[in-house]
Amino acid sequence: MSGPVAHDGTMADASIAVSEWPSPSTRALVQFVFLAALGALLFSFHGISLHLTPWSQAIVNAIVKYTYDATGQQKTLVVLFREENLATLKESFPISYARHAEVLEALAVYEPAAVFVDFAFIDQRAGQDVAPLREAICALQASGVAVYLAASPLPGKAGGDGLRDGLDRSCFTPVDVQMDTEIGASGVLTYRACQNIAASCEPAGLLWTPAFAMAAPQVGLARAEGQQMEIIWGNRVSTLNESWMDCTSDGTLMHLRQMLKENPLASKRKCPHTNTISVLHLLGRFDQKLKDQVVKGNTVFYGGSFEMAGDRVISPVFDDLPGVYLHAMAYDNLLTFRKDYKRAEQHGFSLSRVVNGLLLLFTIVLLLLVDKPPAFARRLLGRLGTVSPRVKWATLAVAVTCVALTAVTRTSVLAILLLVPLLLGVVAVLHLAATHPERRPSARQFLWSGFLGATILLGAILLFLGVDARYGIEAALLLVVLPGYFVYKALVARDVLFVATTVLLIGAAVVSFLPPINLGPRNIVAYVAFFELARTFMRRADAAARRYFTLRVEQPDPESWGVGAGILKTMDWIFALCIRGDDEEVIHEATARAVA
Amino acid sequence: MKRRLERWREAAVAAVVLAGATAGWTPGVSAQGTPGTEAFNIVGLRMSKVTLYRDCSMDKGVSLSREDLEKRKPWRATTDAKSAVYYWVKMDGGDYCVKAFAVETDRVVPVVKDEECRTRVAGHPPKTGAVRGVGESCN
Repeated sequence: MSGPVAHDGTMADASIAVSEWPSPSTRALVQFVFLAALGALLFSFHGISLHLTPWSQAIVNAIVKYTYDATGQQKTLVVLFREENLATLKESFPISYARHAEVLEALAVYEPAAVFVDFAFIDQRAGQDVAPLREAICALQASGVAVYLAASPLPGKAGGDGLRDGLDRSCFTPVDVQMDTEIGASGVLTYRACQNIAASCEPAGLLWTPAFAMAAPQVGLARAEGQQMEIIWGNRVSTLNESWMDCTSDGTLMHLRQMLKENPLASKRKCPHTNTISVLHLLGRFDQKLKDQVVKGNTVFYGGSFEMAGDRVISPVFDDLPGVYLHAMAYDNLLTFRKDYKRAEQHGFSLSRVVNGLLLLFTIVLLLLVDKPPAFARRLLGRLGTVSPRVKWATLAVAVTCVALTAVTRTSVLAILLLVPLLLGVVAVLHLAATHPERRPSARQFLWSGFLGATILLGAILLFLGVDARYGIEAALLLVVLPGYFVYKALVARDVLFVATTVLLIGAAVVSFLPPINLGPRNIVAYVAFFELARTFMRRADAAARRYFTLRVEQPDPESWGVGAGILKTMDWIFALCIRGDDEEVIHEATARAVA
Repeated sequence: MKRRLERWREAAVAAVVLAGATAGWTPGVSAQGTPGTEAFNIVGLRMSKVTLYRDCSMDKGVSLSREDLEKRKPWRATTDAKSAVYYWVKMDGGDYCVKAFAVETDRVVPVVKDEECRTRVAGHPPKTGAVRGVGESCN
């Protein structure tokens, strides 16, 4: 067996014990294991593993903005008791039972289908009679409205729901209101189905969360199907909210500054997606239009927004919102996606982890093939080039048909349909990577690329400002920054493999999002970043190893290295592992041909 | 004859009192005729029973049914210049407020300006190291 080739194209000197060096397949295997370990470390523990990095999340926000359906938004309303309403209504914090009763009475007039009260009535209050509240709850229920009350998360409270006595349990359903923790810069992205997130929600005694409790009968969701949800934070415009809220954004230049200084999530939306009115709107003059268009037959989430009272939710889309919006958004998701709501990561072995593992595996395999593919891969994937044109066209037709079917039909197996073209795409990209190694640009190309790069940068900045001013930062990211980077990589860097890989990763994310897989958005940016970082690292390692072997040829004596022969031998072995490709086999083949 | 005269006298007094009461509720001369208030009639209740609050004090509630309202129709009411949540009515010589959402009116009561205009719901409230209410009345 021969040794690796030196950077000048000559083989390492035979005086180096080449026979003990790792074979090309061993090198590929060790590199694979190393990259897999690196990927697992980065994705599982920290760094780019923070689920959705701000850039990835910003892209997801942009896609959601234009694709999220209005079904849930039209059927959901938040009634907010704001800090300023306390003074107007001569109230104090916590709000009196009588005032809550008044709000519930007003809601009864507007005839919603269901009401969730995001206030937990846990303690006895001196000097306050709970009777008006109890009667208002029961009257609301008697008028045909399903009432849900926030249960206490505190253990050891009597009655199972932890709520105070004096409330008539036959008039409402207690629900669990525990909030999941924030995930990195993205905020709260998951929503539990019931009290128990580790196991099934099937046991009847377990309280459901408000969104699941209210939506389950409508979407036909059984207890056994209740799994933790990955919330898609819708960001559609609400004309109702815009009619009374201040929704002005920070401005284009501020967006650009914040995006460059921090991240694209530094500037968030000011108005919630969920239709909202305040208690003053509700308690004021009766509004027939409001009843007909917003409240009647819909689900109301009655919550509060008070200073120094906690109960805020950090989302990837909006500035901090009152906690009640989390439940409203989860309910909105359930109405929008129904049983195909997006499932969150789960502990242990889960579909989500399998998909993440496959994406990582694909990225690693591609990393091993790009730039300097091993000979066995070139041989294996090169055979694809010999496939007859008929088979190629037939395969393309199948792929196009599958994509067309997913666009036209509404089926519960969309992901399966798209999986076919995705796998064909994977094979095509692997073939491309193995058979078309990178070419060095000519001098003319070098100058032209520089000019093109500067033009693309300038054009992207101008377009960003224009699109951001008119359609918002999400659109600017999706329509300018992302395509701009793609164009740069394709035309300036001439890195077609990067573009192809990214497109495939996006395709994989889409497939995993669709039913029946139903996972939340994947962190494509993290995979692409991993691909780029690992690729740079491998190039450097390859260059260092080739430099090392050049020096070894020039100075074969262990004494000139200042170490013993044994250590140098080990060093040879380690550096040989860093060599990419196996040019020596090609040279051997060429030599054999020449001899013949 | 004497009884008949007494009845006539009682009837005349009642007519004068009622006329005075009615005059007191005409727009422009209303006791609550503060600038910015609107007068209108309450013609129905949106709930079977509505609570009226004497002088708008929440602990002085009086229940009013649909039957009670029928006896008082047309029942004059005015808006509250300071709040859109209540309307003012006169009952048995006292001033009462009634929840605006709970009554039907003979015309759409105009809202001068939405009190919640230009509100920000999402934002970054100052982070504090205390919880509301803790430490109050500790002594």
